[in-house]
Amino acid sequence: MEVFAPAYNQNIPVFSSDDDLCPQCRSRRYLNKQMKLLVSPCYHKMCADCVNNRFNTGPAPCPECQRTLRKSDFYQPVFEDLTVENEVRIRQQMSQIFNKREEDFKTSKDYNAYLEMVEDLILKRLDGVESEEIDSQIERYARENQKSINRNKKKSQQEEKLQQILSNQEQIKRKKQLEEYEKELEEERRSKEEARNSLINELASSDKDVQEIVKKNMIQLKKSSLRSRGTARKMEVDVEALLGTIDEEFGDDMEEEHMDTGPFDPSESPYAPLEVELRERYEDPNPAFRQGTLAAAGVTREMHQRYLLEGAISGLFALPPESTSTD
Amino acid sequence: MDASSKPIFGEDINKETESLYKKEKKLGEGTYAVVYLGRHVKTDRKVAIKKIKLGNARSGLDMSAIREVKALRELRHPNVIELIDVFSHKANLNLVLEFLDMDLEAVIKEKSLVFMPADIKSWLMMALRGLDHCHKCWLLHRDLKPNNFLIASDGQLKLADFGLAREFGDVQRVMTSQTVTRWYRAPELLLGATNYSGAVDMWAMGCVFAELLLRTPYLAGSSDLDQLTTIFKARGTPSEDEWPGINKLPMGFKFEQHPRPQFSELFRGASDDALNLMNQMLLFNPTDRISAAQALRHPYFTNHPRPTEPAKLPRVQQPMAATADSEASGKKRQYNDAFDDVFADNEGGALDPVHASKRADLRISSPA
Repeated sequence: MEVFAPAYNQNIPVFSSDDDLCPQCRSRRYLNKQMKLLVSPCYHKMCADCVNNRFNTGPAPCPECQRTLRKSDFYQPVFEDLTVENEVRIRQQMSQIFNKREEDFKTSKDYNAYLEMVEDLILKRLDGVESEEIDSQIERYARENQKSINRNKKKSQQEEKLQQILSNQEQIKRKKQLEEYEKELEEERRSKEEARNSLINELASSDKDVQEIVKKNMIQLKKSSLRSRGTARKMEVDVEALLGTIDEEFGDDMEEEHMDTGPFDPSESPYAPLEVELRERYEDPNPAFRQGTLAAAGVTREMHQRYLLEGAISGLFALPPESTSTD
Repeated sequence: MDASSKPIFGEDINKETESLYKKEKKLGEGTYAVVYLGRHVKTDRKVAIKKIKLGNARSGLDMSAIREVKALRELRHPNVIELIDVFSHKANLNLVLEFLDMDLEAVIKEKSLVFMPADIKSWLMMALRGLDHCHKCWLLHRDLKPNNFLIASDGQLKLADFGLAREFGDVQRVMTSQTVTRWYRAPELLLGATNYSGAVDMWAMGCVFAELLLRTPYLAGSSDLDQLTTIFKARGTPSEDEWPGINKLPMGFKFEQHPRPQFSELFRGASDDALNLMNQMLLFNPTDRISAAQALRHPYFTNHPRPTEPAKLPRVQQPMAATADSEASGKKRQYNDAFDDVFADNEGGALDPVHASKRADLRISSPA
């Protein structure tokens, strides 16, 4: 099985949607998840199977516009809109040839004139003006500037490599710093807990004045929290610069979390629980539970009995709801 | 208002209710409802008005609308969407609901937000409180998933979309197993159980818990059979010891054996108590699976860190109008359609041949 080159770059996902339809064999992505919808250089769609069938024996005309095509001409599109696909491809091709940089020109005026010329050529191509004149113009340029094109090509390859090395190093650095930061947070938490524990111990064991002990310890606690707040702040800047996503008040939030120790009940509810006590055994003539099918699905005898009991007594002493239509 | 002007007849009461609200703009449209932003005329309170379409007069009012009204009239809890009023206009039924502008799915998908462990704990606690209340009222939600957890402007999470909700606890009536969006569907439903308990909601809750940690759906099967395989791959194939009676379920056949992978491998960074709770929410045997009330008493919620205050939870910067009250927006139906047209009709009756044949497909090898 041959591999159709994904457009441009391996990293860019190929566009696909459930509505994709091959205009030749009418098969739909909805029914055929594996369908590969390819695009010809003349921007006509066809699925990989049709391409194989039609072009296996060599070049053949495009069924839509009769242009002669080969199998290797087909590629996988990245964009839904083929005009965008077209433009991106043309720009890609052109940038291979017209790869001069600003430093290649003496004045910015020259550079602007050059950019203007390239843009003109691209636009002409986009408009579908595929005259030989433009082609020959591009060819002529490529021939005349062979040296500088090759030179700039090499340059950009080197730059890419360098970029990759740098980003790798950066990643390692980030990881290290994040680890250090987390370690510091953990230490801070531990030291606070120790302080709190020692306060409790002191309160429990010593016979000094309670208020005095609390006061002394609170001052200590505050001091340590102030200190750690400072370091947290400092680290926060670093980490934020690195990750760019951490909330600005991250450090403060962590502080408040430790300070806020008011009691709370996870199973808190605005309703008082309905007190129903089940007896150990009921005379239950219900044959439904005998087979074990219900238990396997999570329906237990106990749950069913509770349901019946609660249904019998719930709401017995509830007041009628206030009617919305009366004032 | 004196007694003489007090409306007595249903029509007049209805008219008066209708006059209390004005519609402002359309927020979204789904297969069976259109949602408008509205306001209470006197108090200026923002509300969502869900207009139920009566496209098919032959079949009468949409089943899910009836379910929703029935369920929400029973419930009032800070973590359940409030049904403020119901009125009809011409042939349309209008539900006046609390206005909530964001859902948990949008928050999970917003990759620029960083979730702290305390944030996840807070969301899960609110969701479980709401669900516990439903279960105490003997109601199953049956469609728990991130986009049915709506988030109020003060950060409170609320269960919404009770279109599939129904009463449970009775063993006489048959329930459909074609319910709950596939990725959140409990194994007993996938095996065709026709009576089940709050455990099905807890399974979905476990999946949402995992999704909060992973930021991507945990058990994303591509078909009903694939869903079972996905679950077995992620949690290991259950044995008869682990889930007594599994073979007595309508589709309980012998399945391909998968070993149980370590939880902590996938959920790096999650604390031990979080993994312990999630494991209990995703137990195969529904009788063993932790209930909402038990889950709220799990040490996870009382251990450090403390759940974040609702107002301080991460939010999506620009709430999208289209996903407001997303229960009626079209996107919900994308992976919902598998049972869209089935759930209402199967209840109580025999399965139709289409689904019977689906069941046959599920069989890998029947026990000798």
